[in-house]
Amino acid sequence: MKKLLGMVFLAFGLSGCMATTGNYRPVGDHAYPPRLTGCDVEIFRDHAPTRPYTEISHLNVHVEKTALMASDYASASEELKNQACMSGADAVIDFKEQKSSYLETRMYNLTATGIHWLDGAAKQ
Amino acid sequence: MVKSISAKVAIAGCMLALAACSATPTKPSQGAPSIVYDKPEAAVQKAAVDALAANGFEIGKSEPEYVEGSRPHKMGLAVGSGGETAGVWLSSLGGDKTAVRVSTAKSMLGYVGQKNWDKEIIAGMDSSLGGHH
Repeated sequence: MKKLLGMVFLAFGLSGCMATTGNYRPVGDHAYPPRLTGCDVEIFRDHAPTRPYTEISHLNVHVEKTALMASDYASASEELKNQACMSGADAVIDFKEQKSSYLETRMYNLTATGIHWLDGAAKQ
Repeated sequence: MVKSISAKVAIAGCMLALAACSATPTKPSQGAPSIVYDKPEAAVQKAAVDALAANGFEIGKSEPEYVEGSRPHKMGLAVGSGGETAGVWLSSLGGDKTAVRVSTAKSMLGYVGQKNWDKEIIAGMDSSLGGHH
């Protein structure tokens, strides 16, 4: 029982030691409708897409954790996809990562650009 | 009588606790130094929003001449972080020039783990806009 309580306490403590904030800002004048939560978003981290596209949103995800836990792309990718869906993006390009720290807090910031296919791809 | 006093003390305590959870940045005086970008106000405003977001601020106000954001409180092993509120004031100088003033306010709750984010916010805006005067 004591072990269980200890694990619950630890879980609560660690969850409070992490903060993730995400947002997006539309780019341009045309407003795109949001897509469903969990929509299929293509990720282009290493290369540019070959299909024609237009940039529609500036995406940002910021993760902060205590010194014991590292922050990286894996900890921000789900929130990035959420923000992409909300902005109406079909895919994400132009990734920029930045790491910093202050006292015991490690910060990881990920910015990217949401794009919309111009060749009429089917959407979920 | 005792119940009434206890209720008043509890309400006062709650108000104090809520006040400690947030802070309001103070606009720097007109005489205070500002930085100037050779960009129109709308472009600088977008850069301010992006710079706040990139430093973990949740945008609370996004007006043509004022942007404000707050960093959420986060527990830590020793001091935690978050709780700061930053304000960015913009004023058009005409001819595609925009003056900017930045101020960070710290809240009482978790004060030790908080920092002044003015430099980081300006650096973020510089990277978007290409430097300031």
